[in-house]
Amino acid sequence: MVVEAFGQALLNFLDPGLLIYLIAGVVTGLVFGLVPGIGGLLAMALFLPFVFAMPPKYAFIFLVAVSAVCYTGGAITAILLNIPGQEPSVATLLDGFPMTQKGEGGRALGAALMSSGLGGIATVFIALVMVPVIVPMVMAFRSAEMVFIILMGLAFMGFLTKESMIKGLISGGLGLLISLIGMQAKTGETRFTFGSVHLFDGIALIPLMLGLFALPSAIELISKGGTISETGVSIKGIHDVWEGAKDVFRHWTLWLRSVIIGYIIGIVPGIGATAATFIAYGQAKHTSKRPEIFGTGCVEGVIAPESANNAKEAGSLLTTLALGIPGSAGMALLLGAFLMLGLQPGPEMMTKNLPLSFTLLLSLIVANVLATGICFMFAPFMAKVAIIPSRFLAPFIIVIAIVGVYVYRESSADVVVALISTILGVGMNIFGMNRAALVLGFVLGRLFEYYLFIAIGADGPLFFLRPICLILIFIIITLFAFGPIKNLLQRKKGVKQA
Amino acid sequence: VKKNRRSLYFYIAILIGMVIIITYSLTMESFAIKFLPIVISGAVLVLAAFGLSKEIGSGSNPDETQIGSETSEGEEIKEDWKGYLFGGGYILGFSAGVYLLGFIMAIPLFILYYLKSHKTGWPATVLYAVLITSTIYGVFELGLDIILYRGVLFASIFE
Repeated sequence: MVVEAFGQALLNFLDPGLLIYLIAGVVTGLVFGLVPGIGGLLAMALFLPFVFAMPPKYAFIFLVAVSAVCYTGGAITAILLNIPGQEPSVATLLDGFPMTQKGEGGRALGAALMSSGLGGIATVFIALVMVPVIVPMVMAFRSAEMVFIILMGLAFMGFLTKESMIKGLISGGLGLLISLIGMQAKTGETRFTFGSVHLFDGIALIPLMLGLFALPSAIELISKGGTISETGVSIKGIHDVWEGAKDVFRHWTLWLRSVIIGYIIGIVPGIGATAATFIAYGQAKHTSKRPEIFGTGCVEGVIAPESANNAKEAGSLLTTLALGIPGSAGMALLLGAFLMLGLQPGPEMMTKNLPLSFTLLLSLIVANVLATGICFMFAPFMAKVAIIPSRFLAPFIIVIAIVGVYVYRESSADVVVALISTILGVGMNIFGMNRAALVLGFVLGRLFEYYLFIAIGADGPLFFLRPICLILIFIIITLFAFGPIKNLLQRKKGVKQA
Repeated sequence: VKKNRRSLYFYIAILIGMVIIITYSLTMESFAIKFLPIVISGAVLVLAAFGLSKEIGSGSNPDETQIGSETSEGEEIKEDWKGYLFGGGYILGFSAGVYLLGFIMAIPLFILYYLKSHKTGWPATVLYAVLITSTIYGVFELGLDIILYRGVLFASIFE
């Protein structure tokens, strides 16, 4: 069955329509990844209303391609201009920008493009190999197990906020509460609608997303003003770029370690690319014979985070498809799009819809190859997008976001929801809360209630006593206990040493 | 001090919000629909109470609260708020413009006003306004066959 499905997926790539949407997704992901403050997540949010006009299989390919390459674009501005296109690119600029300052910007760019491109491709192969393992595992999962898998994803909400786990969990809790607005699937009764017919179907993902991410970004651009970058672009020539590409092969063990880290973090729901890049950077420094050169402009400091960055996507996509658990906010959006386009991620994606799953994974490879090729050719030109004055970017984001919200359901009430979400997004920013955790809570909230009532109906109130459920409960408890236990052990060690 | 106080207000607001949600949820009739709202808001309430107690605890530690100059932080926050209000005002203004005039009229007017208020030259302003408006019109009305909202003032004319 697996070989047949794989063959069918390969045949799908003979469809010129699919390739056109794939290229469109790659270009979109790269361009939005290049523009600081926008990023891939926002690109996906902005383009969600448009994908509903596309045939579903092309829409999925488009979104997967956007998410696959958006971090590649972000690395270019991080290295050349010290402006991270998005959060995960922060780890890249630690050594990338000092390399540019030393006149090695081209080399850093080459290393970043090659390591992220190869990282994205390699993990797809790992993911493809993992399918035979994932299929029987997923088949053993029933609604009861899904409840705890979702709970495990929700548990990661706490780890999304760097400063405070409590704020991360509260953000996720708010997302869960927002997801409860509207008609309850089991009873047909309404909740928190206050008599508004518009709220009967619940809050839609598009206005919530655009309100939480796009419009607050525009507000930030307006309040900052001026131009985005004051630093010039430094690329000596294509020779430097190739030199950087060769560096990846010189440091192949570092690349491989970082790819594995990215893939594993991608599988675990809710951790995200930022953690993956920083963990990869940390291990590169930790295992290096010359840790003191990190941060001063060494190529290893670029290879490690960039390899993990794109590697995370395949793992994340596999978890999203097989278990319906998004591995990141971007995947949460993709999951939302799947649901809205009538595709239910979960066990069926590994059985009935296996050809589509393979097609999506293979599209990651093609997207990464295309993105790396395009970037190698146009890197110096594309980087100039980052120096567009914010006075041009901010009105563009506002217009496209409000239009996007309206056309989604041609409803002015959605615009009101987006405006309220904007206040929420800005407020969350001010109070150091995590918007990605809220989205994770919102997307998983509905699934949680759905599986919970099915599990209670099928296995009774003691559904959690199934063996896999008990293992999952143990993992969830371990996740929360790990930090305090580690602190306790460190404190004890400190006392002994003293 | 300001940051600490900001977090205190945040947790207090969450506590009040969750108490309201729990109280409201208790008035719901069936157990199936009130179960999750009560459980989730209860959990958030406990988390907020824990966060508040932690914040109050750290507030009593002078090492953690005496960070930076209170005046400069206060000015920074004031500047932040000014920027947010400015940005929010543009979004609200554009939304009101769309409501009254519709997308096709509001988009160029908004871009013209925004760019001129940011001291952009006329040629660039007009070109950008025309470019964005024609792209939106081309993609949605011509490409995707979606009728964009015409606004309350012009709706009757177009109908």
